[in-house]
This record gives sequence, structure tokens and C-alpha cells, in this order.
Amino acid sequence: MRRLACLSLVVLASAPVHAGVEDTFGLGPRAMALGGSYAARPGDFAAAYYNPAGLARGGSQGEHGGFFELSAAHLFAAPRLYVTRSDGSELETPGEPTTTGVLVGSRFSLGQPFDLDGLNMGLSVYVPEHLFRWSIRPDDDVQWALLTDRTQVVTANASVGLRLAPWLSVGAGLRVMFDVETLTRGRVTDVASDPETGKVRTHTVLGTDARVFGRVAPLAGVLVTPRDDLRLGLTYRHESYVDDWGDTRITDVPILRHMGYTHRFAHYFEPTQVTAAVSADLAPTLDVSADLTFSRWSRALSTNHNAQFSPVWGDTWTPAVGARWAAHRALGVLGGYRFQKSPLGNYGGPSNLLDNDRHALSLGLESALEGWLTPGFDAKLNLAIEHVLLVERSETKDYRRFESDAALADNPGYPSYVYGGRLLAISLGLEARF
Amino acid sequence: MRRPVWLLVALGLVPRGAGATSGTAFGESARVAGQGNAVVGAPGDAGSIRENPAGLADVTEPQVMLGASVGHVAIDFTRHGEADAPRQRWLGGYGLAAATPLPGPDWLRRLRVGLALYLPAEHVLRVSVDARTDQPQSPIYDGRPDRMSALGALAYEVVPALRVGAGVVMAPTLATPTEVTYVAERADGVERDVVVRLDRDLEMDVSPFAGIRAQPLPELGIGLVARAASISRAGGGQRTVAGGILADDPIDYHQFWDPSEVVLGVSASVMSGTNLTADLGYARWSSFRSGLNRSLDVPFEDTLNPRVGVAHLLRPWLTVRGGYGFEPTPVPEQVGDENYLGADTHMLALGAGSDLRKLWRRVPVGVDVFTRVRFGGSQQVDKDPNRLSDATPELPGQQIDNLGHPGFRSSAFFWQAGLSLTLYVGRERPR
Repeated sequence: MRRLACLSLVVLASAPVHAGVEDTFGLGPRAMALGGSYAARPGDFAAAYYNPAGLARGGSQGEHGGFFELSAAHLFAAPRLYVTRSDGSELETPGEPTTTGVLVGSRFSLGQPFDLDGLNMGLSVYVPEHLFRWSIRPDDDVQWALLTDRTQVVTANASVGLRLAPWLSVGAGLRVMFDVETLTRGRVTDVASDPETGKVRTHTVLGTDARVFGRVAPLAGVLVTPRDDLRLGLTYRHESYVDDWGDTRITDVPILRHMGYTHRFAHYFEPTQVTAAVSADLAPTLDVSADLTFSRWSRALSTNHNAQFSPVWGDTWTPAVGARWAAHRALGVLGGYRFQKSPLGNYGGPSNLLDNDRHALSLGLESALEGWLTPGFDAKLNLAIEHVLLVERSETKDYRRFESDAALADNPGYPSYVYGGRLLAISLGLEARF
Repeated sequence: MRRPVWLLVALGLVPRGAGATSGTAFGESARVAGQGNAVVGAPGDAGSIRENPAGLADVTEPQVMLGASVGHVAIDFTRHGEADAPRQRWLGGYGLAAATPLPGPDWLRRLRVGLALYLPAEHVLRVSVDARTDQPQSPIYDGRPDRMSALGALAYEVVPALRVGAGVVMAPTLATPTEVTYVAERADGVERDVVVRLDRDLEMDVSPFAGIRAQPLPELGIGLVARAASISRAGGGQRTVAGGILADDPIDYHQFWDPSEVVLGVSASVMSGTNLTADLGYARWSSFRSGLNRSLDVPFEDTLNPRVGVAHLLRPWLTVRGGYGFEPTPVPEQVGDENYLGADTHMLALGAGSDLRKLWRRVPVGVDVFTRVRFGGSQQVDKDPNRLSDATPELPGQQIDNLGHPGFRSSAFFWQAGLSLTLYVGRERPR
């Protein structure tokens, strides 16, 4: 009896990105307009991600009694990317989809029923047009590692903030993600010779048992409000990714009898992050903020769990600044800037994962509708536009990192290429307080 | 007689228990479940958006509902001449719903917004499709409770006696083309010689629902709701190449979560503090397709599902509830290759709710609890060998390997209990 032939593989996966939609474009139009500089800006649902302590405002602005805030925003973003080989030809990548999604957020008093001021909850759910979308390719395929998939996945944050004292608020929460297990079982029902390929062609009936499990990553924050016009924030977010595993087995295969493989992928890796931030009211109509985020990308996983031709990941520091000017009673102008160092390098090796340093410049408008459109309706309209420039980068294959000349010549990125591009994002949102 | 009880009786009966807090089977809020799911004609809240979105317009202040439930289902399956092969499992889940009227001018204050989310405790989602189409399975209890669901809805108070509402439930569709190739000596080790290229794209699709609720008299409410079927699909292809073997076949999975439904409901206050409700639902189970997206050998049958409920204000702060429903099985006689399990089912529910604001003004919280059981008769099946497939046609005679042959008996019992906590978050508390 012939030995059973079974192909086993551990494939990994996931398109790591800068912490999903939150770090790529910002959680909501206001955060986008401020360049993501938000860890020391308390008072709306976005604090559920940026700094849970910000759900409970400090200082003399602390809320009393019950309240309920609801926000909804639409996001659209389009990339224009290029990968050009040294001979001037364009290299194909799996896809550069546009991003379209809806963000719903809420912040409300959780302590009111318990006669406790300053205990608030914040929720956010980002629902893209494609609830999730990912492409698995070997790490040596030319592919954008952190730009295409990360804003194409449902994300949710749920946090609670508590004001311990007028000058001190703390908060904690969970970022919700998923794990996926897929077991595929099938059997061959028909066998024929394929004249085109010369192979034995089989027809199979495939069944599946697919399970999606919840996975949560904790986050926590502190907000210090020494004066009404000064706020200091500190946030910790733990790493997470979507673990995607399973196997496939097909029985009654001619010659081999059984055929199958095991897979394991990692999607949407998000590193452990620590953010320190400060915001200050420089004038009655002007406030500014600055954030600095350390991201532990050195523990990142490629979609293939770094098992095939691993790239090199490095920790990064990301500065961000934002400013808001109340130009009129009913109109505010916002602006922000963020520099995101790429955590990824191929360094001439077999992998061809693409990522660039990014300059993100953003502008926004904020209008209090109550002041001119809907008297008695405490609502705000927010608009933000962000332009992200990907600094051009080059990759030249180094023969010393390949096992053979043939492997070097067969590499899709041989001999060298340059890549870059830009992203343009726009977000429009409405938030109301009841 | 204060209320024309005969009118209630004439309008009749009651509906099949609809969906859930947001669409997942057996994920209803405690108030809805405790009243036997007969709430289409009654005023709504954040936890009954799926039952009738028009009831959302009854919400007068922002509220957030948190819920949890636990249940146990036992399905007996016994082939003739064999020992019992029972299947048992625990179910549980968590619900979150929020509803609020908008502030501002009068026309805006008549508009209500509602959101709901349900998360099963065990799986966010489970889709199980066996390659064998004769695998015994229940279209009611297998699969349907194992999914996360979310909905959004709007409701408008057209006039004080008339409310309309509409919403959508998420029903995603997955495309997953997969290519697996074995490339010898590509890397170090056979495990790394397998190259996988796959794309997974879970597209957002929605299943709409809409309702209307009229209150022609203070003591009489009438509701009508229509819900589209909730179905998820998974498609793509699976191409596997290993040496001289090529397996290349399409995938087309079909997950039938819920049938389309129309439910008519009435609600009547027949005496002081007592409210009776009755719903009658028509569920279009005949559109059911197998997990491999094939028509059934014998199609399911549409069902009429009556339900009744009662709520009695025992104390100003305490309401007790009860309900009963009858669900005819959509599963026809299983004499052929398929082995769907199901028998007519009775549902009994009990519940209670307390508005703590009536006890303590400073505690704007509502608490609701429920328990219910679902039980039914026994399904008796005797296979007809003439309608069973020949497992090995190349051998002489008829080779039968059907998992239900020569016949079987099945029954199911489901118990569930749950709790909902409603926080009225938008009102300044009295000081």
C-alpha cells in the first residue's frame, strides 16, 4: 500500500497595518482632522480607543447626571500606489482597494443608575463595505503589507472611563477582534484526465466547519487634568492579531489516496503601543495637542507568521500634532500632522512586502448645528480630509541572502524596484448629545 | 366590559417568535422572550427592534439595554434498532441595544434611532456544512444560534396613533478563492513547500425588515411587520495541485439563518394592569436550501405560527409575564436521502420585569428576567429504499449507506433563561 501523501503546510497570514483604521485614518472625522493626536483630548466616543480615561472628562468640565451621545461617520479613502522595477515596468500586486466604511460611536453615562458621576462608557464599531478582506500570498510575492487590508476589517472598541478626582481620570477597555478556524473535508467523486495540463483531474465535494471566535486585546489609559486648560494622557494598548488556522483533507484521491494541508495565517497584526500625549488651551479659541506613540513592531507577524522568507520588523516612534481654532461660535477649523515610520524592511532578502514611511497631513471643519441649523439639537457636523504621502523607497536584492543564483533570479523582485504613492481620505460625520 | 375581548380573539392568535435582539435565533431580550415573543402589537423598546421596528417610536428617552442568556438544547436521534445517540450543548450569548429619540424641533423629536448587537458566547460565527448531505441536522437548533448579528433601525411617529419603522440586519456573503500548490524543494522542508494563495472577502449585505404599529385606542395596539429572509453565502473555488493531481472545484455554501416572515400582532388591555398580546406569523420555510446550496429533495413547508402573551402589573414596580407559542415543523417526511430533524414544537415562557425608578427615583434602571422551554413531539421516520441513493453503483444490488436508514426517531428539548438590564441614560437624575 502506498504511503499516504499529505502535504502539510503552515501558512500564515494577515496583512499587518498600522493598527487598523484608527491609526491609518483616525477613528472618526475629528480624530482624522487632528492627525490622530487624540490621547489627551477627552470627551467623545473616540476616547474608547485613544485613551479610555478620556471618556470621563476632568477639571471643571466634568459631566453630572445622565447623558447619551451618538455619532455616525462615513469614511472614504483611495490609494494611488506604484511599484516600478528597475527596467521601468510596473510590478503587479494583489490589489489596492479603496476603503469605504461607516463608523458608529456612542458615549453615555454608566454611573447615573448607581448615583455615580464620572463613570462613562464608550463604544465604537467600524463597519467597512467589506466586513473583512484579506489576501494571502507567500512573503516573496510583491505585495503591500500594511496598506490594503487593514482598513477592510470590522473593528470594535468598548471602554469605561472613571473620574477619580477632578484632576485624575482612569480608563480601561477592550479591542475586539476575531480568530478563525476552518476545517475543510471533501471526497473525490469523479476522476478524469485533463488534456490541457496532463494531470489527473478530480472533482470533489467539499464540506466545511468554519468557526469565528472572539478575541480581545486590553487597553488602558490615564488622563491628568492639573488645570482646566491643560491635559496629560498616557495610553497602553496590547498587541493583537487575527489567528487563522485549520486544515483541509480530501479523501479517495487517485494514487495519493489522501491529500491535504494545514494552514496558519496571521491577519491585522497590531503591535503593543504606548502613547504619551498633552493638550493645552492656548487661548479661548485655540487648543493644541501632541502625541508620541511607541509601537512594538519587532514582534510583528507577516501573513505567513514570518515562516516563509521573513521580512524584518522594527519598533517605531510616531509623533502626531493637532490644533483646533474656534473661528466662529458655530465653526471650528482643525488641522494635524503625523509621521509614521515604516516598521518593515526586506533588506535585499527574498521577501517583497512593501511599506513606506508616511507623512499624514489633515484638515477639518467642525460645525455646531445648534448655533445655526437646529435650535435645541446639540449636534455637530464634522468634516475631515487627510493626505498621506508615502515616501519613495527602493529595494535591491542582495545575492548573499539567497540560497542560490537560481533562487535570486526567480525572485519576483529581482533585481530591484522602487515603490511609493499616496492616500487620500475623507470623512464626514454627525454627532449628537441627548 | 372595558375592552372588546372578542376583537382580540377574532383578530386572532399570535405569531411565531421572530428573530432576536438583533437577529440571532434565541437571542431575544428578556421582556420579549418572557412574553412568548408576542410583542408585535405592543409598545416597543430597545430590545424589541427586530420584532417590530415601529415599536422603536415608543421610546421616549435614551436607553441602553444589556442582556445575557443561557440555554441548553438536547436533541435525541435514534436509528431503528440502535441505541440513542443524543446530542446536547449549552448556548449562551450577550446582547447590547440602544435606542433614543432625537432632540431638537418637533419633527426631529418624532424620529427614533435604534441599534442592536448580539454576540454568542461560544462562537462569533459558526458555519458547518457537511460534505455528506445525509448528515442528520436540525434546521432550528443547528447553526442558527451560532452567529453574531447586528441591526440598525429608524422609526417615526407619524401621528400619536401611528408609528412606522424600518431597519436592516447584517447578512454578509463570503468570497474565498483558494489556490494551493505543492512546489518541491521550494524552501527547506516539505511544510514550507506548500504555497497558498487565497483571498477572503466578506462583503456587507443586509436583510431588511419593516413594521407599522397603530394604537387606535389607548387600550388596543395593532402591529404588522415583514422581515426578509436572512441568508449568508460563501463562494469561490478551491484549486489544489500536488504533483500530477489537480483538484479544482467551486465552493458554494448557503447558510439559511431565518426565513422571510410576515407577522400580525395585537395588544389589548383587557383589565386594569393586564395586557394581552397575540401574534400570528407566516414563515416562508419553503425557500430553504441545503448547506451546499441545493434544492431539497422534498422542500420544506411554510408555517403559520401562533403565539400569545400576557403581562400583568402586579405592583407599580413589578410586572409578571407569560407566553405560549406553537411552531409547526417545516420539515416534511424524511423518506429520501436527507435527514432533517424536526417536529411540531410548543413554547412556554415566564418572565418578570421591574422598573426600579418606581422604587427608587434615583435609580433609572429596568431589570427583566425570563425563562422558557421548547418541547415537541417525536419525529418518526421510516426510509423508503426506493428513494435512497445507491452508494456504490458499480456493485450489484443497491448499496445503502444513508445515515438515517432504515429509519429514525428524533425529538428536541430546549431550556433557556436570561436577564436584561435597561439603563435610562439620558435623563438628569433628580437631586
